[in-house]
Amino acid sequence: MEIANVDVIAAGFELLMQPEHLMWLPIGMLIGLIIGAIPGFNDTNFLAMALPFTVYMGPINAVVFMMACFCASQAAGSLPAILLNIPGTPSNAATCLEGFKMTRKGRAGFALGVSVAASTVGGILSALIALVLTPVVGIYALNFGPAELFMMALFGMTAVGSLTGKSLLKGLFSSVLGLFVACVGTEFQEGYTRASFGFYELYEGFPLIPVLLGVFGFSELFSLAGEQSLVAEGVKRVTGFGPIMDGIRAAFKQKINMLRSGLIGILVGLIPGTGAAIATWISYGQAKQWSRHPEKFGTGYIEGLVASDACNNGVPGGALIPTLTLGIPGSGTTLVVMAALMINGITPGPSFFAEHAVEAYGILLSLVIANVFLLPIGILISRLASNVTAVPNKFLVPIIALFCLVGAFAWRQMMFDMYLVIIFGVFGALLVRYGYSVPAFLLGLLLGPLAESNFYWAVQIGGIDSFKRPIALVIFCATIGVLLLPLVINKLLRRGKPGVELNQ
Amino acid sequence: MKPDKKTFIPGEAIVPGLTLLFGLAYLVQTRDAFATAMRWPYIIVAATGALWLAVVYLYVFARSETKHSARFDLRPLAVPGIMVIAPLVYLAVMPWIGFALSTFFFLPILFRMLGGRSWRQNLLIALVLTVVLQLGLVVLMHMSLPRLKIGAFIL
Repeated sequence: MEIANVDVIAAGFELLMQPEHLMWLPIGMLIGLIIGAIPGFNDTNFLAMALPFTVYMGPINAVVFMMACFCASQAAGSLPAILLNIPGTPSNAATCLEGFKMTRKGRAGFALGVSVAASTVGGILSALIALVLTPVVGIYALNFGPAELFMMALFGMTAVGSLTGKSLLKGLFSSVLGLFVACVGTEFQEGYTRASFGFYELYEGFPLIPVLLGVFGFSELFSLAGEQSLVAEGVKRVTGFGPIMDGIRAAFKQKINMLRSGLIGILVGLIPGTGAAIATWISYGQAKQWSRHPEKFGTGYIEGLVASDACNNGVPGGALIPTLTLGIPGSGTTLVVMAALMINGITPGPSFFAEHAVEAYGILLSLVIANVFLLPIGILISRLASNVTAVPNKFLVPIIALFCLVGAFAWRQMMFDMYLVIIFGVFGALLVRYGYSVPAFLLGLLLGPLAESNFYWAVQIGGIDSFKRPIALVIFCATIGVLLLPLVINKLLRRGKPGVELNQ
Repeated sequence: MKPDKKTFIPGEAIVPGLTLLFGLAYLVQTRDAFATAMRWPYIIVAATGALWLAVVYLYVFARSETKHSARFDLRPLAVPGIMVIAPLVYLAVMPWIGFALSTFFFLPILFRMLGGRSWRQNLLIALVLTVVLQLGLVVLMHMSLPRLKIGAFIL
């Protein structure tokens, strides 16, 4: 099957339009909007919980559902940020600066309208660029051999490790710790079981889903359980659609700002390990730098809100490109998306577009359609979301705990996996508490076997010279580059928010 | 001006400590492994060891003032403690009394521990969730969750 071909795109569209696949789009969007609106519980946590059930959905349904959920939650995270000054997701922190100030001025409806419009434009732009760019990257990725794949794994882990920890050292330590934990289980050369600690359940290594559920979902409960409620009382409800529509009209007048912010989202999303939280601050900083009224930023100014929301919804498309073509997830959520494909028997990477071109286009088109639907659904949800955020923690926390445990059991039907959720939940909470990088740890665990087997084959085929091939050397240079990237990003971030550092 | 002396930060020692324990257990377990099977793990152990030393040097033994926020404090551990112990007890009793009954007991007790004062409300939410999960997971998805047999009735 050819790739980057109109017929293949049409086949992908046809595949997506089949009711059994298409129905997961609105379901994912609805759930994503609800999840994104619940502060402290982001899309990555939820998708990690939903991961075991994707085994029953099939790869296309699973990814269509997850991408719709991803887009919608990025947009919905602005709801509590604007209404309650609580970012629904870490990437909505910049939204709080302008959105909540607008709410305090009695312009909550207007701010929600601006947010929905900016998110839609950023999302559509990002999805279209991903649709065009992903297959091109996929074609070049076909030239990758074991040495290049090993270097890519090294690059991904270095990038995520260096950009997501509290410090470069702790981030890199998290990556190698993930690789170390991935060394448990039966290896492929001799069939020797390396350190199963007496548990037959660990013969294949630590299972991904319980570990994901533990470090992403369960670990979050320790902080949530200590708080009475997610929602502050006395927040003025948005009434009527009028102010929301005014906000949408005002946002569409900010064309350059929206396009620039959307592009920043895509570019930052492309770099594994960065994610929307970093992108929005860079975008906010750039908007302030280019603005005619920089002094108005932080006072409830539309330009700041547009910059933040157009950018954070631009990230999913960018993050999807390295995930599908290189097998390197650009963010925590795309890491879960990649895991969903892998447990359904499809390995994202250089051969993905050659072997599954129709399915790949189906996934990319689902991102475009999800963003088109975001505007009408977002308007409706804007009015209803504040009710959802009123769930008290005393009920929410035990329910999430239960779903994490049951979710872990669902995959292999083993009680052992439920205990692993608790163990890795505690471990994940400790990693977060002391500034280590959870995404880097997980990526190490996920890419460990891939890195090991490619390292083995590269050495077997060409010895150390395998790593001197041009593409491998370029990727190695890029790996060195991302080690220096935190310095550049910190410089850009300081322009947006004085005193702020990466990961703060 | 005298530079601050480095002091031991107990909280910062937890993750490196757990890593050390894991590493030692791993190496003991694999002491009789084939050399070819251990080539990759030894590379990773070397990398982990180098970064471990750097983390210990820079963060576990740090200047007390700058690292004050990362100090290990036992006081706020009550609620996280509940969040660990309650699920462990839930999982321990599940094989004996089945998924449905253990879930029905686990939820209202945890609701109560986290501040849910009304037993009636707690029990009602727990009942609804238990029924939904039992129907969805056991009846529809045929998951082999532990079940309690009472005569001809399987819960």
